[in-house]
Amino acid sequence: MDIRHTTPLERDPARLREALPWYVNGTLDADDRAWVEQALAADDRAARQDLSFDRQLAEAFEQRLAEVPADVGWSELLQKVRADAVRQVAGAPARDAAAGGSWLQRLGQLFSAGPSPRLGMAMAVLVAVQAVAIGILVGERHVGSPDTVEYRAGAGVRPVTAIRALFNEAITEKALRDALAANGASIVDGPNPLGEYWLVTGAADPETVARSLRDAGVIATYVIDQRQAGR
Amino acid sequence: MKKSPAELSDDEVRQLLGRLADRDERALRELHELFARRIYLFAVSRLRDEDAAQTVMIDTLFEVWKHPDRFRGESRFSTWLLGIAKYKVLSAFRSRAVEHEDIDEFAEVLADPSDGIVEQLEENQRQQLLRECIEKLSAAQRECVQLVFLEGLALAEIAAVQKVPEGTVKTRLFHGRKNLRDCVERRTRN
Repeated sequence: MDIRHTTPLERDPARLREALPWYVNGTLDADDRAWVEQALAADDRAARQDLSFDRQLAEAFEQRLAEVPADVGWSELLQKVRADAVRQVAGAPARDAAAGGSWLQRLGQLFSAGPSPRLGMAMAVLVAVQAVAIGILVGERHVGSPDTVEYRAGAGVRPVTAIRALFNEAITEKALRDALAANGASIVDGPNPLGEYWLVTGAADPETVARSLRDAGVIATYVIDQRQAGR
Repeated sequence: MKKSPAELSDDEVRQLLGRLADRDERALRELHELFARRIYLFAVSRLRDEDAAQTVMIDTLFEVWKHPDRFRGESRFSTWLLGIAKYKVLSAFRSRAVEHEDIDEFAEVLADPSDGIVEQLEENQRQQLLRECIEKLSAAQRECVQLVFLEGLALAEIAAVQKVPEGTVKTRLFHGRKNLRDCVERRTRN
């Protein structure tokens, strides 16, 4: 039997009423449909009342459906999809970290979402140079926080200048990945309850990068923030 | 793209899924436009909780977004979607106790219907009564009736979504319709 059609019953007139829901919803096959129509035409009053009731039932469900807002849950769905995309972009190095490798390799892989692994490694070197220049020692990644990059100072944790940004709702995963790579920016944490993420910018000025990302339509809003130890 | 799920051809489904695999958010929007309200209504009919139903809908469409390749074409696309939603509804259902009035419990004490009473109602009153009575059905019966009259699923498809034998679907449908008729007539008398 074709699953899209229902042949529910023997053609027993006593069971006509049981066939009516399938007649109303259009899943009876052609033979059974013709049989139901013949039986209804034979002045089966009770069956016609049932048919009328079933059609009202279908209308009642259609009315309920029409009352559900067309955009029900859309913004939440889109937010979930984009948060997942961002997590994937930010999570790739975390997976690599779990598999081992040096910090420099892991950071290089963080950038490897960009045009080429070689460029990614170069950017990673730039970040390392900046870290040295500002006197920050970069320690091992925090084992318990695989999605964050931890920056440690010699005398304890120091803040790192970062961009706290809300990504543009229209940005796609690929465009986000490309834009971050082109600007030498990396996601290191997020989202917070407002849906914002923290980005570090390597050697580049965070304000300049943030403006560039905003002008490119990648981020909707941003603030330059101090971020401590991946938090 | 046609805007009725029932009119979605196999080719259109394949194209839509292909665009989802390419991470095309417009395809996600089309998927949402076509199915979100139906999945939501399906979930709310079982859970009786609008927030939980919205979560089920979002999680269902998100799963399609993440794994569009999992649809093998072994059933209608809408049936496959409702199967995912059903799984998520059951997960939500198990996580909490859902209390509701079940008209099955007092169906036996209802008076026999008299011919002609239902016909006395005005159309809008009848629709309102019907809707109120739908809410009073047991969750399983309400879901079954909805799959028949709103989703237009065949017997075997409903059995697959509800994960019960076809005979159970017939029984649920029979008692669901009877309970609805009885409920409308009882309320009319009152």
